[in-house]
Amino acid sequence: MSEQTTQEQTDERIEIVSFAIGEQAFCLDIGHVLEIRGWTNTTTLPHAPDYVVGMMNLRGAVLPVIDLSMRLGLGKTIPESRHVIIIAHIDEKSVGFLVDAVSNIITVNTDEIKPTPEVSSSRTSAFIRGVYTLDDTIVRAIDVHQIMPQEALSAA
Amino acid sequence: MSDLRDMFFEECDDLLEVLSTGLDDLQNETSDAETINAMFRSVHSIKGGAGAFGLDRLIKFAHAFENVLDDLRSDKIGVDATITALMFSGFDHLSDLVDAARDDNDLPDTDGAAVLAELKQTTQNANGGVGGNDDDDANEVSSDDFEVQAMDFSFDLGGDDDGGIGDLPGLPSLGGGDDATDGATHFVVKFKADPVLYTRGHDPALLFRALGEMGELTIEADRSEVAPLESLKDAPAAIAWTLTLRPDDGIDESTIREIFEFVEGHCTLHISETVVEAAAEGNTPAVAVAPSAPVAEAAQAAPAAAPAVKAEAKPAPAKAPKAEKQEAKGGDGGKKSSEPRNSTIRVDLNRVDRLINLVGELVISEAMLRQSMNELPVSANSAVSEAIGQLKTLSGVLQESVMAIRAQPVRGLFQRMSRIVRESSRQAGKTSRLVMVGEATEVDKTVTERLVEPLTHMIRNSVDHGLEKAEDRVAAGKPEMGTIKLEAAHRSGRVVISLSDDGAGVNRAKVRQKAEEKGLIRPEDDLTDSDIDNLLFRPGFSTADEISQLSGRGVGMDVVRSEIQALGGRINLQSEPGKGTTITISLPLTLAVMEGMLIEVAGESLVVPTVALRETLQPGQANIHDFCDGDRGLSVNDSMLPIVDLGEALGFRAPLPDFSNQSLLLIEGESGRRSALAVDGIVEQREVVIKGLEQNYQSIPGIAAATILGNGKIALIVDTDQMIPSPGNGNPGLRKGSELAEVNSNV
Amino acid sequence: MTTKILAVDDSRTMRAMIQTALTDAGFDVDLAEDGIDGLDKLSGSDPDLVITDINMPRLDGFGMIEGVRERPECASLPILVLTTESGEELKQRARTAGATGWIVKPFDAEKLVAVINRLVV
Repeated sequence: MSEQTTQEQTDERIEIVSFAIGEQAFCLDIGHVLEIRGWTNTTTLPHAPDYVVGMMNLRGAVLPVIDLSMRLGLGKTIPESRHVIIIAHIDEKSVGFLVDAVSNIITVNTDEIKPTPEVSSSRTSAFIRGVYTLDDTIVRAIDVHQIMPQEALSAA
Repeated sequence: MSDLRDMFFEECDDLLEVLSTGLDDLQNETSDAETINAMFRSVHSIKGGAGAFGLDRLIKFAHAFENVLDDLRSDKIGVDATITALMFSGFDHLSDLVDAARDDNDLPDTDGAAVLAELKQTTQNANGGVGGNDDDDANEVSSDDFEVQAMDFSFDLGGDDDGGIGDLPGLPSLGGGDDATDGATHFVVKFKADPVLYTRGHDPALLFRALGEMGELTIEADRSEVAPLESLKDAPAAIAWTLTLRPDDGIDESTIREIFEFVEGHCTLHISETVVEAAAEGNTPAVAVAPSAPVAEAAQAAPAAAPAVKAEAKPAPAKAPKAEKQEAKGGDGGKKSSEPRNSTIRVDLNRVDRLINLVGELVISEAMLRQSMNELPVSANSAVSEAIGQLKTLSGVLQESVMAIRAQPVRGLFQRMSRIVRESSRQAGKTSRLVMVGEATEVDKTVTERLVEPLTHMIRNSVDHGLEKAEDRVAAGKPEMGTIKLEAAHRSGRVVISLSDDGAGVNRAKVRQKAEEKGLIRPEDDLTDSDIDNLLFRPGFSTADEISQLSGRGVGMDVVRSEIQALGGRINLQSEPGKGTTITISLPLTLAVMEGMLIEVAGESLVVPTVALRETLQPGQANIHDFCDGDRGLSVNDSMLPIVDLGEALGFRAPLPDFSNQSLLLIEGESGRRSALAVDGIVEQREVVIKGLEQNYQSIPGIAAATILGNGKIALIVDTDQMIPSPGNGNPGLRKGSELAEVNSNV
Repeated sequence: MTTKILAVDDSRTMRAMIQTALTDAGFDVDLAEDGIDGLDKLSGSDPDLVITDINMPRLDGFGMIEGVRERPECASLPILVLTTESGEELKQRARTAGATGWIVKPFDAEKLVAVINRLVV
C-alpha cells in the first residue's frame, strides 16, 4: 500500500479479547485482561446493585464479579458452570466480568473502530465506545472506565 | 539522574524532620549546643543538594536560613521568642520550597519574601551590618569550581642572585629544546616546596606531570641546597625547580596557576612569561625533555620519600583512643550525640506491599491446609500434624515481622500536625502549641499516611471551636496559649492515638439544639452526655454559626469516622465542659489480621469482630420482649437492648417473624451503647486475614471488610458500629443500604 | 591497580553523587558518613585519596583530617575537602587542618576527576 505510506498513519495495532453475551459480541483491550477463568462461586454482597453478582476469591484476593449482561441492560444471568469470568484490571481495581463465552483474541488497528450505531439502547451505548467489523460480525468495544461500578452516592 | 533526585528529596524529608525536632526542643527549652548544630547541618545539607540540582530559590532561602543558624551556633545571636518564631516560619517556607521543587512547581514570588528578608536582616544585625546580603556572598561560588586567586608573592624568588637558578653547572641552559619556533611565548615556573607541603599529601612530581600535559616541558633541578647527607625525607624540599613550558594553544598563565592553587602558601612560586628566541645553533640539543624523564627522576626522589615514610609506619595504633580524642576535639559532640546507628537500606514501598499481601495469602493457604487436614480421617500422620502446627506458628511470626517492616514512628506525622497547629492558630487569631507524647510509637506507614487528613481536620476543629479566645481563656484562669496534645501508644494489641485540647469542651446545649433542628433526634429523646458528644459524628454536623474558613464546608466528623473505620479502627469523643475535649482513635496494630466470631445468617457465612463482642446467647436462652413497630428488645441484667435482625439488616431476606431459633450476639460500639445481633448460628472463633473491599470495589454499608475462610469461601466482616441503633442513629447502615442498592442499579 | 577513593559526607545524596561520578571515571569508591566513620574505614579501605565534607555530625571534616594526619602512614595521603564556599578563610582553615586541596560544591564531575588525577599517581 505504497500510497498510504506517504501519510502519517497512527497505525497502532492492539489485541482484543472478544466474547459473547447472548447473541452479541463484545470485546476488551487485552491490556486490561489478566486472565480467564471458569465460573467460581461467589459470596453475596448486601445492598449490592443488581449487576453485582458477588465477591469471588482469586488465589487469596477478593474481587467483585460483575454480571456484564445485566450491566449492559441485556438481562440477568443465572450463573452456571459453563459461564466464564474474565478477570480484568481497570483503573487500579481488579474485577471479574461474568460472560457467556470467550471467542477469540484478535489483532486490530485502533483506527478501524467505528462509532456505535444509533440502534442500541441508551443504556448499552453508554458503555460501548465503538464497534469493530470483523468478518461481518459487529464486535462492540466496551468502555472499560464506564463499565466499572461507580462510587455509591450518599443517600441524602 | 532521577534516582538521585528522588534520593535527594527523600533525604530532605529526613533533614526537615531533624530540623523540626530541633525547633521543638528550642521552643520547649530542652535544647543544647548539639541541637543547633544538627539544625545547621540539616539546612546546610539541603542547600548543598539543592545546589547540585540547580534549585535556585531553594538555595537562596536555605542560605539565608543557614546563616542565621550559623550565627546562633557561634553565639552571635541568642535564642529568644522572636528568633524561635522566625525559625518556625523559616522551616515552614523551607518545607514549601522543597515540596514545590519536588513537584516542579513554582511558588508565587511573594511567598516567603517576608521571612527571607527577616532572615537576612537578622544576620546583618548579628554581624554588625555586614553579611546576609547576596552580594556579600563573594565567597559563594556558583558553579565555578576553581576560583583562581591572585597569587600573593611574598617570597618572590626574583632575580639571579639567590642560588643561581638557571646557572647550574653541567646542566644545559634553558633553550626550549628542539624546534625553532621564533618568538614563542614560554612560561617559566620557579618552584620550591616548603617541607610542610609533603605533609599535606602533595606530590610535586604530580604537579609537574599536570604541567607537562599542557605543552612541552623542561625541568631543571637545583640541588645546591641539598645538604650532603640530607635524609631522604627532607631532600625533596630542599630542591628548587625551574620548569619551562612551551604551552599548547589555549594555555595561559591562569591555567598554570590553577595547577598550583592548592600549594600556594606551602611553597615559593614564581611564574613569568618570556619570549624565547630561536635557539642558537650549536646548543646541545640535550634534554629534549619529554616531561616524563626528569619527572621520573624527580619522581624517584619524592615518592621514594613518601613510601619510605609509609614503610616506616607501624601498623595503625588502636583506633579507639584516637577516635575518642577526635570526638572531644573537632567534633560536634554534645550530650545529645548520636543514637546507635543502624544499617539501613531503601526499599521500594510497592515491594513491601507485595510482600505483605503474599504473607496474607500464605496465612490463608495455611488455614485452608489445616482445614483439609481436619477433614481427613483421624489416623492422619501425626508428623504431618506437627509440621502443620509449626507452619502455623511460622506464618504467624512471618506475618508480624513483615508488618514491622512498614512500621515507622509517628513522629513525622505529629510534626506535620505541628505545622497545622501553627497555621490554624494564625488564621484563627489564637496562640497555641502542640505537645507530643509517644512520638516514637511505631505505626504502619500506610496508616500514618491515611491519618494525615483526619488529624488535620480534627486539629483545625480544636483550634477553631475548641480553644476559646485569649481573653476568655484568661478570664477562665487558663493560660492564654492553648495546648493541643497528640499522644500515641500501644495498648492491648492496638495503637491508640489521642488528640486533646484544653479548650471549652463540647457545647452540649448547642449540639442538642442543632440535632433537634436537623431532625436527627426528637426533643423527648433521652440522651446521655456521651450520646450528645457523639452526635458530632453525624453527617453534616457543624456547630459553627458561620462555616469558618478553617473547618470548611460540611467536611464533618462523619468523614473522619469513616476514614478511621476504613483503617479498621474506632473513634471516640469525650468532653468536659470548660476543660477540653479528647478524641481517641484506636487502630489495629497489624492491619491484616483480626480475631472474629464466624456466624451464619441466611445461608451466608459472616464474621463479627471479637473486639466488639461481649456475650453470646444460644436460642432459647434469651429474654426477648416485643415492642411496637416489630421492634424487639433483649432484657439483659437491668437493661433493654435493641435486637438487630442481621439477615434483614444486610438485605439477605425478609424480617423474621420471631427470634426463638436465633442465636444472639451482644455487641458494644464506640459510644458504649450495645445491641444484640440475631443470627442463625454461631460457628466458632478464629483468626482471619482482613481483605479490604475498597481496593477492588467500594465500601458497603454494614460491612467493614471481607476475609477468606479455610475452605476458600469469602466471608464478609460485619461493621458492628453500624449495627447499633441509637437515638438519631436509626440504623443508617441498614435502611440507607437498601435505598442505595436501588439507586446504584440505575447508575 | 585501580585508584581507590574514600568519600566522606553525611548527605546520602551527596555520597551517591560522588560515587557515581568517580566510578564512572574508573575509580574505586568507598563511602563513610561522618568523621568517625571515615577514620574507622581508613585502614580497611586503604585509599589513595580522601574526599570529605566539612559539616558532619560526631566529627567534622577538619577533625577527621587531623586524625588522618596523625597516622604516620597517612602523612602524605591526599585529602580534598568538599565545601560550599571558597573564600580565603576557608582555604586557610583547610591548609591548617592538613587538607591537600578543596572542591567547591556543586562540583563538576570532570573537574573533580581532573583535580584527583593531579593528586594521585
